[in-house]
Amino acid sequence: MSEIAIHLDNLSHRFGSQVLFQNLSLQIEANKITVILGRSGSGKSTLLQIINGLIVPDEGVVQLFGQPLDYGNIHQARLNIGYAVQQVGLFPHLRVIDNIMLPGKLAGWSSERKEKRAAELMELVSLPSSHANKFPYQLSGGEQQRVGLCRAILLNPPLMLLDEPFSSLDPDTKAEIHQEVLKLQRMEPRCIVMVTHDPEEAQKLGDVLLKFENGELTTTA
Amino acid sequence: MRILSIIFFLLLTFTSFGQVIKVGAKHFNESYILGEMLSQLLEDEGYEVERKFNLGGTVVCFEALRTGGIDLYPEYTGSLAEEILKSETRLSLPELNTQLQKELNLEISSSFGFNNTYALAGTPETFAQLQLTKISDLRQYRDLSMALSYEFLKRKDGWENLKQAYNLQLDPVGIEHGLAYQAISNGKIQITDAYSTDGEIEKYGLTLLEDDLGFFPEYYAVAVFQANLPVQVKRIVSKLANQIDEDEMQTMNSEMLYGGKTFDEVARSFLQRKNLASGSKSRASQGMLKQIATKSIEHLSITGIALGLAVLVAVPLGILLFVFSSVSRPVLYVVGLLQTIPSIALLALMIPILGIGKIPAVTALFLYALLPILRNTTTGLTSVDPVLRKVATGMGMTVFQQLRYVGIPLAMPAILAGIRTAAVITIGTATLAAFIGAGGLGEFIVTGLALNNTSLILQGAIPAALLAIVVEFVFEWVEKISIPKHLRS
Repeated sequence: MSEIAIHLDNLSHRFGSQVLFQNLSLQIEANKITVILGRSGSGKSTLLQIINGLIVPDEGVVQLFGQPLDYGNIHQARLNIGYAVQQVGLFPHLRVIDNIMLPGKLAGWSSERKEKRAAELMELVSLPSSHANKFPYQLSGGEQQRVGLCRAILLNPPLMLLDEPFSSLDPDTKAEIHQEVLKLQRMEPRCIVMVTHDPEEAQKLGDVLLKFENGELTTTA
Repeated sequence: MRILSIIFFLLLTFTSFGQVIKVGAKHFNESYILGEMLSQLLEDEGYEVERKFNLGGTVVCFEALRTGGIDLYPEYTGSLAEEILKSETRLSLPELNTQLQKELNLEISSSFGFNNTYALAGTPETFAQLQLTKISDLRQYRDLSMALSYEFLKRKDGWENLKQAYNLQLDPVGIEHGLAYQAISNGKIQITDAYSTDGEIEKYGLTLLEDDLGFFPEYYAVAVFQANLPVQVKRIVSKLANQIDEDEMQTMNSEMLYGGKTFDEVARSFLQRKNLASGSKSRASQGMLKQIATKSIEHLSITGIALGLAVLVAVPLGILLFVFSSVSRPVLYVVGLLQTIPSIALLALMIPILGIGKIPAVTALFLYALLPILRNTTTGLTSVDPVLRKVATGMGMTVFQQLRYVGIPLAMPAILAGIRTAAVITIGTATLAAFIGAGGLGEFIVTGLALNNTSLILQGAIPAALLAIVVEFVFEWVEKISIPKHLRS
């Protein structure tokens, strides 16, 4: 087994009275796409948010690249984790280019560095450069999702979390963007953890496929 | 608190410095004329006089006098005894003077001569029809249309006690005194309260009901001032002793209200007729447009300072309330409570603390402007899409970064809308600030109301309305240049 990016050790978490999982342990490899397939409401989204510290588990430890997640300095840790969600969450008051470059601002990158990297990424995911100065609402759903991806990986994080990012796209757009993701992964491999309820998508993208059911994870491929 | 008291002390010393005598007057015509007479007498002897003639009633004038906002003002013995000393018994003039000195370190001058007591007035036709000649005749009626001035409704020697003394069953409504006569001559109301020297009694040919139980105390006009007023000034004030009788006062009031004369002219010609003043000096009076411009600028500056301060306090406070949301509710309740205090009452409440003039007015307006800005800031931040907040947090933003890059920019339309609302409220409310001597366009309105002079009211009301509209436009423009089109509401 290659390098371990994420190590979840004995996680237990409940949401109100509902037990989402009990004593869950999992290791996720670096530089691979791991897809967690599960029904909506199964808690797979919660699992992702536990990894980037948006949710603190009731019990258990999260380790990223051998280091336990430092909740006291969580902002810094998150700069190393790309995060994209289904609703994309582009900031409506910022132009496309500024949305993409925002993490660079947080990390204190120089303007040149931000601009160069943003232009590079836009090209990589086939976003025309004329979109740079548009506002998010002027873009199609697929284009917005591409912008979201660029933003998530601007800082070239070793880890990216994708929370059903493509489920609201039409099949053609979805197919296109799947190609972009695979291309990105070839160009700059990283540990991608994606949750989805779409088995076809899971098959297509996943190097490792996990099924999440009744709080249990089972390997299927 | 310590800083406040230092500022207050500085203001006090600053305002009482120099040989400027500050003459006040209540906002009705007779008080203007008497205040103007006192001012002219003083100016004739070389004093510089600052006129503060729009003070909103006995309590405002009195608090202004007590806190040094004014040095003297014309008052009536009955008002002093009942309203200020809360005396249970009728006091003679010397008794009144002794008590004022002892309890408040204030003095009064000799009487100017006339007794301007309260009376109930109506048209002779109405009174004949209802067979009314004296107040006790009112006992048989339950639903006459009676409108009384707000001050009379509240006074100790006003309606409530009159009603008890005469055992009356009537249920009056409140009306601004300046409007009552018009209402009575239009037949809109049947009875109102009047002062026995009101010019309108003559002008509208009204009849007064006889006070057959002798309920109303005497209201001799006097000047009231602090005991430490320079002797020289007291001597000048005493020149008016026993110079004016009821008829002369009624005529002067009528000249001013219906003869087209200003109170400046009325006072001057009277003093000349009585050989009390040379009348050589005349106050330079500005043209109307220039006056409107001056008052508009004054109005804008009061409003602008109050609004600016409110923005400086309410926006950061709104942000803090969003971050520490557990305290947000109680704070918003308290600020909301401030908003429910009627503006004129809030202005009056400022006087004991801050005296009269621009400072209490700005303070009151500031308090009024807080809520819309505060609430919109907090609401604007709270209503940011939770997905955006999740993404911002997930991206690694600190609370401060989230506010800076996401929350505040997205709440900006709401914040601006709050400031805009506050600006319009403040411009409107600032017209009332004239009641506590803050100046501005309200001075025209308040004077116009007191003098029943519609064109004077419009002279203040139209520019104030225009200002509000202009401010709306300015904010619209600011919104246009600062907020992308798709984010505007």
